[in-house]
This record gives sequence, structure tokens and C-alpha cells, in this order.
Amino acid sequence: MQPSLKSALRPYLKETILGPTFKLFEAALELSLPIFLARIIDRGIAERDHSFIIHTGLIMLAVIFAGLINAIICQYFASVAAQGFGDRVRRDILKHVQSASISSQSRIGAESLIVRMTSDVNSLQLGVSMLIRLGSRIPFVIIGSVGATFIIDRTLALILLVGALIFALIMTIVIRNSFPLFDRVQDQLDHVGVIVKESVSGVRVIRSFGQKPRQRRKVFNAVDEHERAVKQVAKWSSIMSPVTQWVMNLSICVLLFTGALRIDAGLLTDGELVAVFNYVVQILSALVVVANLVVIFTRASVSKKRVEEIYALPMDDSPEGVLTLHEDLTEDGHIAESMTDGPCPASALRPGENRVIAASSAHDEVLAFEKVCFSYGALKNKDKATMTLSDIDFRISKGQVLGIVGTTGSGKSTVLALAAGLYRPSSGEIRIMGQDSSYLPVEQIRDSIGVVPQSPKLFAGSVADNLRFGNSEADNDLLKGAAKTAQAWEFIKQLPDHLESKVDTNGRNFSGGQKQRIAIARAIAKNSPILALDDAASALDRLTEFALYEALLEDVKLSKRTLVLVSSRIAAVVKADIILVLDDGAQVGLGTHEELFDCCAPYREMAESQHVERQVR
Amino acid sequence: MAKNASLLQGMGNLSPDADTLSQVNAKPSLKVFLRILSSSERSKILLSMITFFSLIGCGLQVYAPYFVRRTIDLMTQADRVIIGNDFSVRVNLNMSRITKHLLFLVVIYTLSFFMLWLMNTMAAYIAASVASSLRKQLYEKSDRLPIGFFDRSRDGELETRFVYDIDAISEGMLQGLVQLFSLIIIIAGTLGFMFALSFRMTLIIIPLAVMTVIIATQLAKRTSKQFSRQQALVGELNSLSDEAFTGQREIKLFNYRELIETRFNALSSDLYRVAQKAQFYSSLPNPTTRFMNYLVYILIATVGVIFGGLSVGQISAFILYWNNFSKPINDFTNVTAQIMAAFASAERVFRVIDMPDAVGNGSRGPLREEDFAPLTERQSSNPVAGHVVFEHIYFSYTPDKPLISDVSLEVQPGQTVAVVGPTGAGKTTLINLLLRFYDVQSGVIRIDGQDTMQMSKIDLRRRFGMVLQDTWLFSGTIRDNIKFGCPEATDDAMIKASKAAHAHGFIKRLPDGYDTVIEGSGTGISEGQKQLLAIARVILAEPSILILDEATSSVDSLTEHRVRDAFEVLMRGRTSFVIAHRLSTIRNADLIIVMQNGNIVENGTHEELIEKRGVYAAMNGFEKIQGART
Repeated sequence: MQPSLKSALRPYLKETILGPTFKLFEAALELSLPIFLARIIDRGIAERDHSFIIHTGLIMLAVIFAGLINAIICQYFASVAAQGFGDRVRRDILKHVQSASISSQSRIGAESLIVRMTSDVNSLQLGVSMLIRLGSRIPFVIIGSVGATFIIDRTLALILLVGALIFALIMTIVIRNSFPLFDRVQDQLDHVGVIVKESVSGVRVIRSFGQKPRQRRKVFNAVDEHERAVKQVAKWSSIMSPVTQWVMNLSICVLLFTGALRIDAGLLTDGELVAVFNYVVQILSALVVVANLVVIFTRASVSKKRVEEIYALPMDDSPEGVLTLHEDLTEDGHIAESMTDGPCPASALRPGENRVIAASSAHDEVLAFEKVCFSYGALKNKDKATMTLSDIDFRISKGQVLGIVGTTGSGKSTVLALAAGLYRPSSGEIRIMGQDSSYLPVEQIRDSIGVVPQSPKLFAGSVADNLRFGNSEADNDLLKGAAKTAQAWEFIKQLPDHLESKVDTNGRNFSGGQKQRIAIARAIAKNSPILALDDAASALDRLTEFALYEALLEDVKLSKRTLVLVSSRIAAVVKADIILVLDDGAQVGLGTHEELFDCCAPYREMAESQHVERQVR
Repeated sequence: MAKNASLLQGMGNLSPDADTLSQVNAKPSLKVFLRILSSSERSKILLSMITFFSLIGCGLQVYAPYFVRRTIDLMTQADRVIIGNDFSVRVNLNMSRITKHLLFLVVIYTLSFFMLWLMNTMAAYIAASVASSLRKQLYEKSDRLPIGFFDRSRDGELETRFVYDIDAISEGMLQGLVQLFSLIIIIAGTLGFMFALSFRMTLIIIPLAVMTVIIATQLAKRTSKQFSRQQALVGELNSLSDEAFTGQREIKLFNYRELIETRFNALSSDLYRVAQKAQFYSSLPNPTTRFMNYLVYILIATVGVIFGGLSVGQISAFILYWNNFSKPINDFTNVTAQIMAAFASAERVFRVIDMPDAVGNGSRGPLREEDFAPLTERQSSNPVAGHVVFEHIYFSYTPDKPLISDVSLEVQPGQTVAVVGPTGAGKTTLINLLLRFYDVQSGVIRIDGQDTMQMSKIDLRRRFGMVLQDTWLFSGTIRDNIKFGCPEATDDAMIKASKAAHAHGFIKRLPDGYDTVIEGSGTGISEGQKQLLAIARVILAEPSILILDEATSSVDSLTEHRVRDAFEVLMRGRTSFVIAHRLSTIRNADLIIVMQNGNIVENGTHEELIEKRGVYAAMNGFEKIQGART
């Protein structure tokens, strides 16, 4: 179900309607004030009737007090509706982003998503709040003032209307012209910031290449461009407030002149003139607010588009059918335990689904790729040369170790991403626990495979929180065991609070090697049937790396899980049962170390360049 | 208020940190102000013109209601003379005098409009040019600062000075001061006219004005409390959504969605509660001020008439004056806060500008013509053999912790020198000294017999090509990045260099090939590929001396092997320094330097050092054992 901004506002329908209603009361009360003032002047002053003046003054006092109360109630409703709406939108955004696929998310990018989550939601909130607070008040004040003037004197009302129209026209021109310029100024300033940031982070490279003058010119150009943009916007912004004042004051002059003519003709009283005078001031100040409202609503509508862009992201490929892992797993007590709350087979099985046969035919098969091809972009032509992966074909069983080796950019990580269901293959079939993964819900795929990415990400919280990431029920003993296998326990135990020690955002307070080991422990603690390490020991020193692999192999023997090791170093995978060799997205070899060493030239070339010999065991 | 809050949010990680905020107690000083002005040539003349326009413009603005009153009185007092009990009596107004007054008013308003417009435009122009020239000053300064400044300063510190502090200066100090000046003229002028109109009435109104200000500031205080709580929650929410969005891969892999959502929703609800209060309080001053304004109107119309004996014209004039008076008073607090913040920003900016330059810098002072000469011309003027000598050099980053002590070394032209040793042994420092990112405390480094201290830094560094541990790519196309060292290289040369660096293959496969734009982090280019680009950049620049600082650590062994082939071709005839952890890759070096605790403990060829059975042999043996065991 796609969320929408409307549905986020719906729970606050009451506030959205009641708020403006109270505001209308306030506006109506305000509009009555000039009439009272006129009566004071025409009767009170003219007839020197002090008690009438005091009496009217008290009524006016009551009116403005009632107005204040109404306004405060409206502000309250506005704050509830706007902030509540923002809260809903934020939740919707997060929820939808989480259910969108990784590839569609990258279209917007994490940084932009954060901006949309914060500043765009803010401007939407402001829009809602202003709609409630001023959306009804302003039109009412304008129409009411013109109407009241109309009752007092038609000619003056017409003049007023013309004046207001001219005023609105000028405002529109100024805003229309300056608004895009303001955005450009902000963009230019951001640009200046980016280039300076670049100059700071690249200071060594810039200096060592003797490119200081060039970078300086780049910065100066950006600064000059920003200055030009500011000056351009200044042409418009500096006229804004003087021109509004000017038009306002000129309208008063015109009004006084016509008023004088009308009084001269005996058609208007003094009090009425003062009342009209007040309506003019009210209308014109309302129009100034309109100008600001236009800016706020324009911003909000831009933000609306940006948030709706998120809502339009395609969802993570939803499974077309659901098959349970239940049957296969009952034989393995250990894994079956963690899977018991999976869906019941009878209800999940689709009648006439022939996939079941495939599932039972390879009983021990844990992971299999069959002629899998993949391309990140849309497939225009099925040219295998441009594919990221082509014809990947292998199968591994329970308790086995699969090694994947290849050069940088050969597609090793992509194989893992496909196995974990982060992407769907362009063609071919991936089977997990004997079942076609495209028929499995993504949650189920991801429950069966624990991946340690190349540059793992830690989350703010405690070390234990991070280790429990994939298994919230894990007890401390399990975490400790996982940490020991991952060679992380040594340093965790030296931390002030051991497992409860704090992890900063992005794990900034840990070294690269420590982060990798925590991430490995995290994946082990998940207790999934498949454990996959994507070059996850690159920041470890040789001794630790060696100990890690020994411990992992030991763990595989005990837990009967399947281990996938991805590395660019042959030494890391020599002990694997099967090694998959990738080159430029193509599978160039599959077999044991010895087999490959004998028959796979690229593999032998790699091994020799890394000083790994044929006999290793 | 709300605007300020959202601004702060937008600033994100560039916002001044707690440490810099604590120095906000800067005192406004004339000296600082004049220094800011002096950064733009015509600013003093413009500023005096602004003062003049502002005096006239605001003065006229204040003067105008006087004529409004006279006009209304002409209309109503004429009335009063003739009026009887019968409303139908025709009133005779002095239309010619009214017309004259009104025409005069139109002239006054129009004049003041032009004055204020000019004033605003000029203020904006000065602000923009001052900001621009301050930015250039600051950048030029940063160019002259020693590299240690960048190593010591926190992430984003210089950018904050550059973007936000200078913006605060130009907006706050220039625009703010102009505004403050007009506010003072308007408030003082209006007050004078009000007293002239009715002394007693003005005395009654002033306490109300004071009360309005007090109510507004009290509400602002409460609001700011809520806002700072809101700010804290927004910060938390930001970092959580940052994690949630950048960690999507992990979250998906570990099925962590619901837990993240639960945490996020709880935080979002907390934020809702606080933000709702903040918004409510911050929206109160508006109706309250309106209430106070009406209260004053009523007072003028009742008390003013009964006890002050105000005429209808006077009532109207008083209402106009009150409008002129109450708005600037409310603006006053905002403007002064803005100005104070501007002075604090100015202090921070000038602290950087006033730092001592790096010594003996070739590009000290204003830009010179030759700085802009194309690189190839300059390069061809100094062919370098590459004879490098270190003579008894001493160096430390902090005086109490000596790092490099008495290091001497001679490298013949064309030799390959490998520097090995544990982390913190001083390997990178040696390179820093060689390139004069830092200067030796004693001792001499000579290149082809010339003391590097006597050379300009541009001259010196032009001879080097380096690939650093952290690859630096700037936002721009791949083409621009590869051609960074020599922008005038042809595409053919660039492609040749890319092929040599084994980068051509993956570049070709990118959507836009060499025109693919690299921005920030997310571009689908891996760390290893970034390094290949950096290597291509060095290959293209054809430097005289090469420096590889763990250059190939993120590239896999096969790629590294290929890259080293390319480097070997490049290194032929060039002096090269290689810093690497993998001993196997430096076996062929002419000279291996083993460093420990800032000293060179051994040097020689691979064979010689193995023979020695010292530190290097032990390190090598260790590697061997590892290889055999895995």
C-alpha cells in the first residue's frame, strides 16, 4: 500500500477544520472594530458623549479579548495538526524507504533521503500550519474589509478593490521573480561549501600536484558566482518592503482624497472615513502576509513533490508465492528451532506448484545458482559482455565451504547480494534450501543467510545491541561465543563495559579491523544456515585473519552451517570445498584448490602472483 | 523563531560545534567592524551613502503621519464648525488645501520609497562583496597555512567558517547594522512626534509598548526552551534516519526493519509532543501583539478622546505612529541578537586569517601571474635527476614527543626505496618532510644537491607524484580527475595512462565512461577502483619522483600485480619511494629502509637484510609462516 500525504493528514481532520473556524471568529471580531471606532467618532466625539465612548470602549475590549481566545485556540489546533501530520509523514517515509529495494533507494541516495525526512517534512508542516492559521483568515479579512467598506461607501470600496489588485499584482511580480533566485543563491552557497570541503580533504594531493592556483580559481569562481547570485536577488528583495509600504501609503492618500470629496458632498461621515481608513490598513497588511504565504506554499509544494518521489519508489520485489522452509529444516534440529514460527506449509503451499519437486530433489542443497545472469541497469540488449554477472552456476550443501575469488570488480560481491535477495537475477534461478528464491519472501531469504559486507556498518548503541542486530533474543553467552569465533572477544573484553560498551554512530569509535570483527560476530550470532563473508577480513592483520578462518572452519564443523568466503586473496579460500573463480563477471573456474591450480589458468596466475603453492594442506 | 530552528537543522554537520559555540561571547568592537569593511574597496563610501539615505528615508517616513493628521483635521474640523443636529447639512471643505497636503504626502512617500530602496540595494551589495572578499581572503589564507593546520582542525571546521560564519557576518553585521540604524531613527523620530502630538497620551502608551516587549520576550524564553529540547530530539532523529538510510543494506540483510521502525516511531512521537508545544508557544506572540495593538487603539479612541482631547485627525495619526513604533520595537531584539552572532563569527574567521603562514612558502602574498601558467611549461623548465639526501634530520609533531631523530639517508637517481616498519614508526612522516608538508626541525633534505628549504613549495612538489593511503577524488568527471595533475593532457594520453593503471576497463563500463561524474560517496565506484584512478592520475602527470604510500592496499593482489607492472615501467629511471605492509611486493627494491620508533634501524637490499637476520628478516619470516599455515 502506497502511503500518501493526504492519509497522513486524515487523523487530524478535526483540528484542520476547527482551527480555521476559530480563526474565522477572530477575523470577524476584528472586522467589527472599525465600525465601533466609527461610532465613537460620529457619536462619542461629535456629541461629547463620554459614557457612550466608555461603553463602546468596553465592548471593544470584550471583542478583542474574545478574539485573542479564539486565536489561541486556533494556534493550538494548528500546532497539533501540523506536528502530528509531520510525525505521520516521517513514519511513512521510513516505512516506505525500508520496504523499497536497495537499487531504487540508490536512485535518491541516502543523503537526499535524510534531507527529505527533515527539511522537506519541516516545510510541509509549516505549510499545513499556515493553511490552518492563515488560509481562512486572510481571504476572510480581505473579503470582509472590502464588504464592510462596500456597505459604508461603494465608491470607496471600488477604489479599495482596485488598489488591492494593483498591490497584489506588484507582490506577485516581485515574488515570482525573486523566488527562484533565492533558491539559486542557496544552491551556489552549497556549491561553495562542497568545493571548500574538497580543498580541505584533498589538501595533500592538491599541494603535491602543485595545483593550488587551480583549486583556488575553482573556489574563487564559485564565490564570485555566489556573489553575483546574491546581487541579483538583492535587486528584487531590496525593493520588497519599500514598495509595499509605498503602495500602502499611496492608497491612503487616494482614499483621503476621495474621502474628502465624499465628505464634501455630504455622503460620508468622519467616523466612516476613519473606519474605511482602518479597513485599508487591514487589507494591505493581509496582502503582505499573502506574499509570505505564497513563498511558504511554493516551498511546501516542492517538498510535497520530493516526498511523493519517495512514496513512488518501487517496493522490494514482493514474492509471487510463498513456500515454507519448514519441511527441509525439521531434519536439522538446530536451525528448525529458530524457524518454528515460519508459515505453516499447508496454508503457504500453492496448489499445482511444481517447485516442490525441485525442493525435495536436492535434499542437502543449501545454496545453488543456475545460469544466473545479472545486470544493474535495465536490460536493453542481452549482451553478455555488458552484464555484471553472466552464467553463474554452482551448488553447495549443508556444512560445506564455498570460496569465491576474483579481481576487483569481477562481481564477487554481486553474487552475495543476489544470494541475499538484495537484487533479483536478470535471468536464471537461485535456490535457497532447495527452493527458487524468487518464490520466497525476502524476509525468509535474509533469515537464511548472514552476510558480512566488505565495509560493514555499525549502529549507535552498545556492542551487544550491534551483535543482537540479527537475533534480538541472543543471550550473552551466545554473543560471547560469536565474538570469540570472530576474534573480537579479545578487544571487547578490554573495553570498559565489555559487551555493554558504547558504539558511536557509524562505529566511529572503533578501528576498521574492530568494526569488521564485530560485524562478523554479528553475522555469526544471527545463527542463519548460511554465513557469508565478503572480503570481511581485509583490515585484519595476518595473524588474526588466520585465527579467524581457523575458528570459522571449526564453527562450521560444529554448527553444520554453510560458509561462503569471498576474497581477493587465494590464501583465504584454499581450504574451501568448492572455489568459484570469477573474472570480469564471468565464471572461469569451479572446483577445489588443487583442481583449479591444475586446470584453471587465471586461478593459477593469481595464486602464483600471491605466492600460494599447489600443496597447501 | 521557527525559521531559525529550521535553519539550524539544515546546517546539519556543518553547524558550529559545542566548542566553537562556547566562544560566542565576542564583544562588538569598532575595530572588527572597520576591518570587515576594509575588505571591500568601496564599502566605506557606500556605507556613508547608506547612512544618508537611511536618515532621509526613515525621517520622511516618520514625518508623513503629521500631514495625514493635518489633512484629516482639515476634513473633520471643517465639519465640526458647520455641523448641526441635521446630518444633511452640506459641508464645505477646503479642497485646495487638502489636495495640496495630499500631493505633498505623495511626494514624501515616493521620496522615502526611493531612499529606502537605494539603501536596501546598497546594503545588500556591500554585504555580498564583503562576504565574497572575506571568503577569498580566508581561502588564500588557508592556502598559505601549513598542512598541520588541516591535520589538527576538526572535520568541517574550515567549511563552517567559510560558509556559515561569513554568511552570518554579511547578513548580521552589514544588513543588521543598517536595519538597526533605521530602527533607531524610526523609533526615536516617532517617539518625538508622538510626544509633540500629545504628551500625556504618549506617556500612557509607552508602558504598553514596554509590556508588549516584555510579553514577547517572556514567550520567546519559554519557546526557546522548547526549541532547544526539540533541537536535541531532531538531532537524535537525524542520526537515526542517517543510520537507517545509509545502513539499509545491513537492515535488510538482518531483517531489522521493524525494530528500526519501532525505535524511530517512538522518537518521532517524542518529537511530536515537544515540537507541538514549541510551535504552540512560538505562535502565541502574534495574536498577543495584535491584542496589545488593539488595546492601544481602544485606549487612544477612548482615554485619548476623553482625557487627551484628541481630534479625529490626531486619533488617526496616533494609530499610524503606533504602527510605526510597535513593529521596530519587536524587531529590535532579533536584530541585536543577529549582530552579536555576527561579531562572534567575525572573531572566529579572523582567528584563522591571523594565523602565522607556513614558512618559506613559494606562494606567499598575493597571487602572481606565474601561478597561473600552464603546468607543462613550468614542468619542462626543471628536469630532475632525482638524487635525494636526508642529512641528520630531526622532527616531531609535538615538542614533548620526539619522533624522527637523526635520520640520514642517500638515494641515487632512479633507485627504488622501500620503507617498511610498524604503524607509527615514522614512515608517513618521512614523506611529509620530503614534500615539506611539515618542515624539519633540524637537518637538511637535498634534492639534486639543492636544499628543499630554499626551493619554493610549488617547485618542489611539482617533481613528485604520489598515491596516498586515502584516495582523494574531487567532484567532477573521471576525465577531470585523471587530468588533475596536467589539465592540458590529450584524451589519448589520458586513455593511455588509464590503460597502464588498469582503470580503462572499468571506466569504459561506467554509464558515461570518462564523463561519469563522481560525487561524494555513492557512485558505484569501489575503493579499489578509486585507487586505480589515482594511479592513472600519477601516471599521466609523469612526475620525476614517485611516492606510493600503501598505494595498492585496497586493490586485490592480481590487480596490484598488474598495477605494479605499470609502475615498474613508470619507475624506470625515476627515484621512487614505496611504503607498503606487504613485504612480498617490495622484494625488488634497490634499497629497503626499516624504520622503528622514528629511526632507521636497518637498510639494504632484500638479500642483504635477510642475510643480516635482523628486524627485516624476522618480519619476513613471520610473513612466510603465515603463508605456509593458510
